Amino acid sequence: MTTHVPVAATRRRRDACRAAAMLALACALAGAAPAAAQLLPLWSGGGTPAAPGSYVWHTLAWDGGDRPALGVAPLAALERAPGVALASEWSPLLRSGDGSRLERARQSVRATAAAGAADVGIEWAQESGLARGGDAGWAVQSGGEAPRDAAFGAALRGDRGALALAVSVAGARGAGFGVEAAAPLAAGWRARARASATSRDGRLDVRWDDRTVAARGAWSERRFACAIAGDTRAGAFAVALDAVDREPARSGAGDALADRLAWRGARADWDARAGALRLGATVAHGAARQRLEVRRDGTAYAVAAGPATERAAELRAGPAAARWTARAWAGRVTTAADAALALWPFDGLAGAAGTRIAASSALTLDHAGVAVDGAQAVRRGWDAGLAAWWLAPRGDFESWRGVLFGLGHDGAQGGTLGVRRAVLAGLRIARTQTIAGTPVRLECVQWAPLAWRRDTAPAAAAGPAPGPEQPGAGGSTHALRTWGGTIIRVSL
Amino acid sequence: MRRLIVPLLLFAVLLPAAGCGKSSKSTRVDPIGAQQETAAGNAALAAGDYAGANTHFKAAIAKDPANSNAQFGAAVTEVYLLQADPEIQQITGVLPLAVAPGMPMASVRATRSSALSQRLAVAAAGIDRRYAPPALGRAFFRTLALAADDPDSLSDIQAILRAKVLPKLAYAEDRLRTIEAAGEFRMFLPPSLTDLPDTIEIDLTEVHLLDAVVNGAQGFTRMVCAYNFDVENMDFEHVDAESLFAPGTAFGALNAGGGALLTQAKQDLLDVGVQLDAAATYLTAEADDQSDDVVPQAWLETTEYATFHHDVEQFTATLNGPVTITVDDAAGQPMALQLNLGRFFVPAIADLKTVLPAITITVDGPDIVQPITFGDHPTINGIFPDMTDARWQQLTGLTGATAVALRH
Repeated sequence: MTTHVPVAATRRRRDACRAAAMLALACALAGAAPAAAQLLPLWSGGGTPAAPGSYVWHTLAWDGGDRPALGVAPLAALERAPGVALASEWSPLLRSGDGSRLERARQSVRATAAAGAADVGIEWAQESGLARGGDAGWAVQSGGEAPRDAAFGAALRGDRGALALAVSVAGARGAGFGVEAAAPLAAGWRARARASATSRDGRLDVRWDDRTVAARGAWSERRFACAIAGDTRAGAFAVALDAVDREPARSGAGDALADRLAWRGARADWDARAGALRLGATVAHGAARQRLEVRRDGTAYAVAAGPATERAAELRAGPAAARWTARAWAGRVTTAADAALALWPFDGLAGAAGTRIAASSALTLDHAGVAVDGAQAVRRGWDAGLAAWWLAPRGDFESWRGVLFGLGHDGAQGGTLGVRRAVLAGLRIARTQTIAGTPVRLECVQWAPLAWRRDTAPAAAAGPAPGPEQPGAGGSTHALRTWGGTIIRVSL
Repeated sequence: MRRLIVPLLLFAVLLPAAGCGKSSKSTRVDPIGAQQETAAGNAALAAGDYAGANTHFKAAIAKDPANSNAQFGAAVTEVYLLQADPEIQQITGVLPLAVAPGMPMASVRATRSSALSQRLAVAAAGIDRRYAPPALGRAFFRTLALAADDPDSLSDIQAILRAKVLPKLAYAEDRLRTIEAAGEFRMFLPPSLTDLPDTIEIDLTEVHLLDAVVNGAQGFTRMVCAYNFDVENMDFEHVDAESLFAPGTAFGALNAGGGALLTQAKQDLLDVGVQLDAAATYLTAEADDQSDDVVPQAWLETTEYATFHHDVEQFTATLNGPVTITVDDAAGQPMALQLNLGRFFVPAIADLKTVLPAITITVDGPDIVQPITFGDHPTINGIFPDMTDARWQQLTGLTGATAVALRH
């Protein structure tokens, strides 16, 4: 684990409590969305594939193309025709005037070739992510790094199945491996399983006034997934399970970030033809528990931990002869996190008294949407999609000073999430063009708010108390200097 | 020092009441019943019912005084019951030593602030270390300043400190000493009790640290209560300053028993260092997993602890004898002077008025005659052994030339 602890403080003891509250809240926020690790948290190495498969993120990314990383899913990555493939994505999802940012970027180059009976491939990838919030007084930021990974893999395919192995190297973070196998089970039924272990890293920066805590961390990420798919007269069925486990590496001296995650997900898909229609359905469920620590010399002084669950259902339908599909979905994400920050690294007397700054947060996101999506053009042509997404987040937080060994609550403050409901419109448009025999694809996704309703008093002292709703669906429209919701992909 | 005093006073005013700890005369020990009461106390605590928890913990102590968890629980729950006490809350906002940095005194008192208190405040402002020995000088000056500006408030505070705080501190001290005497103490507080993410462990390290805080609070409280600041005319707006500071008045004189209070206060303050060292010794020797400790071993490696420990150590040294410290003089230049805080406590100053510099009474109230002079007592009872009038003038800048600037 790489550890680094710059605690720059010129006024070392000033505003320790407020600062600590900010750090505790930041940790709570960071831990508030473990399942949808792509949304708020330690955005280490980008969202996917480092983060578990959240349906919300999948919907937001509108990423129809499955682009598994060679080091994680070597068999799937080597299924494509030999050649060189480049892919690049830039996703400025939020850029606010107050400095808040939610952003992801990734690039990859993969070359595949046939070598005798095997398919071999090599991939270089770089991912970076940034989640930053806060105003001039304080700020929290995670991610920001651009780790580079290189992977080499080989796959053997035969009548009785296929097997692929990959070795990945992540710079100083170490090496990893991936193995994937597929085999027929019975007539029309197939099984696939894969396992991988990779090294990841990330960082959490928290700043308040003139004090900064920067903690880096490294962890190993183990993934396992298996799926069974089959064709029946009732249609094609697939059931998949996936698991992601993060274990922090040993921390050394100074401040270090330790991220621990256990995610378990399940998904079932059904697709069939019914006369002139194509029909499909998906149900997904996942649960996670995440624990985030900032340690000093191996002892945790900031902790945020909590569970999360996600479930979603999707229905699809479209004319069998047409290239478009309509889908409707609904889902819910729930997260909760408790956080505590011990003051012993910051204040001698408060440390002696065992004082903690504590925070607790809970978030529920109900969402539903409809979309019409055109199938991706293969060599030349336009394709597009249109979506409307209704989101109803409900969240609250509470923070307090745990005096006398944390038994007492002092200075409690609470608040609720400012946004109650939002309706987003999404547009995806892509152009595929063959240039010199190579299909080049440019895809743009843009989400924009159609309406949202806010609480007029998002923060209240001593307990969550939502403010009155604004009349009308429009509510406040203070989107000054705030933009985002953009995803741009280029591939060839 | 001010940062030290604030939490000390908070602890002092929030710790359990001695009156609530009436010891049971029963000789029958009921450990099982005590455990049941302790469990009921924990359940009440988890539900936020501090009063109920307090009752159960005390009942547990009555059934089995050796139940350390109950003793600890009783002490802590009383803290929260006292937090709502308006009198206690008022103290923390009135006493200048308890005012947090940057927090002004109430405006009504600011408008009353006499020239003398402004002078004293200027002198105190030159002393700016949290736990450093010079801070007692700040405490001394500030207490005098409040006494001069608002004697009725300080008198009221003393009454509350005597009636509520001191007995409760003594009770808390007894409970902690009982736990320490047992030789081993370990208590786990689950998230259901604390709302924190993890179970936390409290052991003798924390007990010693709390004891240190209680000792500090006791010392400070006794020090504040030692002197009389009562005035006959309780309507301060009409108090004649000359009647306060005239020789022979009761104002500023040692209370009956005040000398004993100061002797005890000195020992209390010395015990702060003793308990802190005991905590550090126990913490260093701990061999268990530190991840759940409220105060882990890593604390000992922090610069915050080093500063805290050094300041307490130096504070203790000044109580035991004169040490040389360096402060900034009025010109901002470093000035070495000797300090013997022990001489503030033993032998006690019989009348604080006698150690003040020469004072004149103006329309704004009492003020220091410039240049500042102390007559035959520039060492102030030996607290500042090497001080002379000239050195006081260098330290305070009250040489006469700056009188107008200081006044305005």
